[in-house]
Amino acid sequence: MAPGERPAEDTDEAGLWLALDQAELSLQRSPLLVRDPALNAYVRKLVCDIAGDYCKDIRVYVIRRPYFNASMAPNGVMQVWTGALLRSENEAQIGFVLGHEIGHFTHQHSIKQWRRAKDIMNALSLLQLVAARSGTQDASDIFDVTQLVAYASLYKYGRDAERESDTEGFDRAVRLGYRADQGALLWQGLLAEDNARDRTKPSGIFATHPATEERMTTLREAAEAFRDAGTRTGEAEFRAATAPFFAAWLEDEMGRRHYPQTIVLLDRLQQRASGAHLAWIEYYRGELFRKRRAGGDDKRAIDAYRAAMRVPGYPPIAHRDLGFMYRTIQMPEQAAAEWREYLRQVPDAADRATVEHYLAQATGADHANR
Amino acid sequence: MRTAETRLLRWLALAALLLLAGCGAPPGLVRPNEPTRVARIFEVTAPNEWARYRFYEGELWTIDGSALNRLLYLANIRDKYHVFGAGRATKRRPDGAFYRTGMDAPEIEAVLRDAITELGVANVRTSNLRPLQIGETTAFRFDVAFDLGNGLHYLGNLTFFERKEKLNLIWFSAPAEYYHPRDAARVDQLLASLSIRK
Amino acid sequence: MPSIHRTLRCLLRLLLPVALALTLAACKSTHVRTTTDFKQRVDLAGKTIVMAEPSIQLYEMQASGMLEPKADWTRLARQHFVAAVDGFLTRRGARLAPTLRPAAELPADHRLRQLLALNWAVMGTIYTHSYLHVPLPTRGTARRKPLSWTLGPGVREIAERTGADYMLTLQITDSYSSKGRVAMMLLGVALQVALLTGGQQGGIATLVDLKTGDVVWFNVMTDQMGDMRDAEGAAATARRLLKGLPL
Repeated sequence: MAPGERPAEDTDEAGLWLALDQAELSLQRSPLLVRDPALNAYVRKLVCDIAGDYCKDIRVYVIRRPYFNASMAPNGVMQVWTGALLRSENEAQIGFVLGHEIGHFTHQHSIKQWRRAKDIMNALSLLQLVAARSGTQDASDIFDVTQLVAYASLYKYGRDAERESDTEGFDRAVRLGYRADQGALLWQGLLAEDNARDRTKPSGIFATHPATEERMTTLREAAEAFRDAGTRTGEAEFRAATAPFFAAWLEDEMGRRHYPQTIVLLDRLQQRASGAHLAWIEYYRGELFRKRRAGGDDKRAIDAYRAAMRVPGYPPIAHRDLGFMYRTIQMPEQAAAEWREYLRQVPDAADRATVEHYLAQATGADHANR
Repeated sequence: MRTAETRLLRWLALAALLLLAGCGAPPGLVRPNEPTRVARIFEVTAPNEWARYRFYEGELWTIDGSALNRLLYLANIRDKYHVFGAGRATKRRPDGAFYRTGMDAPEIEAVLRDAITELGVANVRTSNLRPLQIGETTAFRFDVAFDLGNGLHYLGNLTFFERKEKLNLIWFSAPAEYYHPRDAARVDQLLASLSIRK
Repeated sequence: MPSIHRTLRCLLRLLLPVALALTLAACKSTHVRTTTDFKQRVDLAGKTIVMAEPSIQLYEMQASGMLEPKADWTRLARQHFVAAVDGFLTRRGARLAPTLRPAAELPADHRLRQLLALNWAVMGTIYTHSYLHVPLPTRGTARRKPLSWTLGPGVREIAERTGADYMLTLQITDSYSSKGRVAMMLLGVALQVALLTGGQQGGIATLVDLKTGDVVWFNVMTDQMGDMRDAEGAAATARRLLKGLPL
């Protein structure tokens, strides 16, 4: 059976397809679905370039979730989470991930698996899990997002299948002229992030395809075979397409409140960042240290906010939050100066009354001290 | 991450049931235009009837059912504790949505935004943080919007203040379709009557 | 944290009555409450009714307890059940409009999507307070207040799109077991499914007046249903679910 074909109605696979269709319907209605036309067009084109003839069988959904995930269900539903876009630095990196997933799809690994009764049972137990979950709370559709990921995780292929998909991913990316070493680079970054997590907790950033040393080594070796094949990274195009969302995705990343991982991510992204990206990275680093409150974090936060302010066009809110950092360490004069600067730059700020409240407090304390 | 979310979600589902069943005390009725004490901290006068469900350090009020309009009162959230009571900060878990005494208002707003997201709703947006003077206490209020998984859009606001180094809050939410427009003015009136025990 | 411990202890005390309530509920058969219990009857003769997004899925329960979705059964059930509802209404002088299925591309914040999402929230609320009897002191016979719920007049948007006077929403989770094989049907994938799943059999249906948004009738069904895979069984199920419809 080729991708895009459907199984006969009286088979067990048909039942799974039905459930997948239902899950896709939920996905289409999910409030997490990113509908921005430009971003969707960009990701879709990337997928199509990589998928070639299979493009028509694939439906791409960009999902607002701050975790690393790109996955493909056997009915042609591809999810790309914003956490994966945030963590990719160029087309060659995200392209490798997409190519890998498309590789699974074109090889129909999941179907091969599902033909085996045991795996069908696994799939069904997942289904049941999902059926139970969708009722536990009104947040059902949020979990329908992970439902399809759960299906994708049925791709627990053996190493042969992974290698096959990696090869195809490389092949497809290289044919488009992309550099082959970028996949391993991305994986290296993800692995570092994953290693920063508390080991007692489940993986913070991966929904599927956990990064392992072994896998990374394999990827690097595979890349060697393709060395010098492609030179393109597609960094400028990727930057342009994702720039409008960069700050919002960082904000979502901060909302996870897993700061050790976020620090690793910010450090990696900073290496190649410039302009507005750099300012946002420094600003959020300041936010992270201010909120974390570990020993020495106050100084780190101040340095980061100041670094952000050295970038032309930095976000004025850096002044507001640097002011609050100074307030926490009881430096009211410095705090007041930052708040004044914030209000000077954003005179009609929605939180003006709040900032003025603290400003009055700080200057009042000032008077009391004199 | 899925485990953590599932756990939280389960917690919330159970909490919702718990609130609805009014564990601890039978559900009561808030009579209109009578000053009503809530959790020994708040006192409000409501222009309309509300069903009230009491629980430890808080109450849930609703007119038509908690999915349609709901006022959540939480009192005495202590330093280093999760704002919605989901545990406390520890060495292993230092970075959750924990309240810290002396936090500035924008940071409390951010903590509450993250905590609301953890509840399993999507696209949580907070805006328009402003200070209010309630008696001798400075409180703050911001607007909150979020979506349920099925897309149902909720509006509302959240009022919070520190008292004796602990955080107290009142969170109003209702679907943007029909219920929020219908109830918002009455809730504004209720919130305007708020007085805080010294 | 003391509040958590308190909560857990409280919860244990709570779970018992809830389990009891569910058991009692399971013993009852069809449970019909209409606003006619409290207000006037509605006459549906000559009226048009639209079903909103019914989504029917049939499962076969394996001996292992695994639920396997059945594509062929589901297709049959979808055909038969809609036909049965149509027949039921036609015989009573009402008309079934083409099923309302908003396009998938419709954004979540579109009014139509919001109304249907609110409809689910209202169904969940009715189920909780009217069927599970979680007390809601602002309502209830003790206070002589009608058991009324509403979606608000925004539903006119649905009336305009469909030409219907009333909207029918249904959800059924039914399991009929025969030697370890149980089929479960989900219809109208409404709400708070968890309250119905876990061995719980039943269905819920509501009828909304598309002029006012008021829920004029609802039914919670807990007895066993017919086999939805054939026309006759589907008709029997429709009859039972629609029992007490204010006709």
